Amino acid sequence: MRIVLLTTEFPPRIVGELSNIVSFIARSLSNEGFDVNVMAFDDWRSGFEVKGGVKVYYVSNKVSSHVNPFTWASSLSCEYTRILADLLWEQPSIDIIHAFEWSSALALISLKEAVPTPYVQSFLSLEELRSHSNLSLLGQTIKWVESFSASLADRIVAHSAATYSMIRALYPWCVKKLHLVEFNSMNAVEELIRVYEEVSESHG
Amino acid sequence: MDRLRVLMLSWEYPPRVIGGLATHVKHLTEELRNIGVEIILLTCNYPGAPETEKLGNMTVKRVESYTAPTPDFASWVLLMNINMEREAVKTVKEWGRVDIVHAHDWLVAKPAISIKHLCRVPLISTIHSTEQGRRRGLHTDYQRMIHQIEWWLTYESWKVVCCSNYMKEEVVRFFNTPSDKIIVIPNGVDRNQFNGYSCLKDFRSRYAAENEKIILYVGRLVPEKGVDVLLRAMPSVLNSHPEAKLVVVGEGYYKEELMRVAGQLNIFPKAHFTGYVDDETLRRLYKCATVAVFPSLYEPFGIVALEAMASGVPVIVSDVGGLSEIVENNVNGLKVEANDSDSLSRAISYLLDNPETAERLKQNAFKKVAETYDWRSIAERTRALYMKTLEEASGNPWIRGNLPAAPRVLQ
Repeated sequence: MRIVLLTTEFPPRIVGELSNIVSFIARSLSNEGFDVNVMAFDDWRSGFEVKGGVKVYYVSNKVSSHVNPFTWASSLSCEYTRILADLLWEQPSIDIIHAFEWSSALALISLKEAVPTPYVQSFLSLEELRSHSNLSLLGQTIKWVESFSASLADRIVAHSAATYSMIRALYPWCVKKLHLVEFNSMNAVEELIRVYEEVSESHG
Repeated sequence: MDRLRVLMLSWEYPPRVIGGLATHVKHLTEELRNIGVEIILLTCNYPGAPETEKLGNMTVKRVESYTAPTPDFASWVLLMNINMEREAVKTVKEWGRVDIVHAHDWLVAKPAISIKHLCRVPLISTIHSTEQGRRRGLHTDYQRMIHQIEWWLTYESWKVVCCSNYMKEEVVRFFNTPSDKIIVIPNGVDRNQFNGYSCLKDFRSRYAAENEKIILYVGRLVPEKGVDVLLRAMPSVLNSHPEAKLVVVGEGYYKEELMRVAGQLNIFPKAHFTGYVDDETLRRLYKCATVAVFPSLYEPFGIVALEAMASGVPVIVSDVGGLSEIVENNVNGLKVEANDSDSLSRAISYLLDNPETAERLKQNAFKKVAETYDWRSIAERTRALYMKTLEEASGNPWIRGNLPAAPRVLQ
């Protein structure tokens, strides 16, 4: 199975826990025999390398000045689209695209319309939790992206109980496609693989 | 080859009219479709405007742009871009084939670039103005961000269209764009739209007394248009020509400051700010004007000067940007130093004193408009650019049509 992971953090770029979680998932899936392709934002690198069996595509942002994280993620998403489009044109068979957090979801929102590949959306947290429900205008924009990507995703993976509960509360319409996969559990990777298999089967 | 299919993106299209972009896209698309180009135009929605509009072999689709709250204009643009990109993908899927993507300005850069890569078709962009030019430098992160998006659009484009040689030089200088990638195609003016209007006495009396001569300015009220220079020229003009009356048409965030300046100069009631006026009123106002003045400090093209010329009004323009290319001094108008109210007041007084010169200038101007700035010939040049681009792309292995097998993208 050929998987593409979209993330704004991947070692050596470590900002929060996202980097280590995506790195762990990528290595574990690769060890299980998956063809793993990571598209990772990096300030300074571009191009492609293979790290421990994982193919890493470094994505830089063509626009370096920004006024907020949303404008940053928006221009970056276009570069994800470009690299993913190249991958799809050259080697068409991608089985699953898996985006992490709202910042990578932006690319998937438009790709979902263009590419029939199943799409999994992961949330480590949500803007509602980060802001303690006191949303600024920017927070409301980010929440809109989270909600839109949740509505489009074929499966949603929450990586903590708090996030899982918040998604259930905010977006009750997506409960059927919502999974909880906590990375402090022993069988997290097996659970994720089950999600992939399930969504893959439902797509035929 | 089948009929040429162009996916055009522009955030402005009537009835959403903010600056000259909407007018440009309206006339360009009208004439392109008259010469057989099939167009789908994606633009922003507007209260009361239909979501989809069929105009001959052109379809206008207005995408949702008001849904989510955003902290600033650029974030609004980028959020609107998400909907535009999704609509663009749907459109290509419905259409089955698109030959060219044509983007107007940075506000649609992101969907245009995404569609280029998803569909593997050449992207052509028109840069109507630049952030660095509009702001006379880049002073904030916000401005730098827009500047970089503009650069990115030119970087991704197969060809870049500029409306004047001035804009071409600006794009080369600001973005390091190779000049061989830039094509100059001017803006145009629809002369017919000014036919059938005359200066009616009742109408004129709303703006000036019977014996007053109207000095007309039309445009946005923003600093780069140099309206304050015109206001500062007025005391001297009024001194020698008390029958002069300044009529300022347009709106903008600089209006209050301009009214304050006019108050300080003590030129009320010899200055009249009309605010926004509809097209019909504007065409009548042109017919009533003795002279039209465009004192811009920065002007990529200057479509309002063309409108005045097409209406038969003698024009005075500042010697900058596109205005400088449209007007040949003392042949089809007068040129003055930018930001020089003395020079401007002398030019206005000269035309008020010399009606036979004014007549000569306006006749030459009318001829020039007919010869050079006709939308049909602009559309033909644009179509020729599309065809040339497709010819260049025909051997390129990156292009969709040249690939041995279609992948799963957009199927």
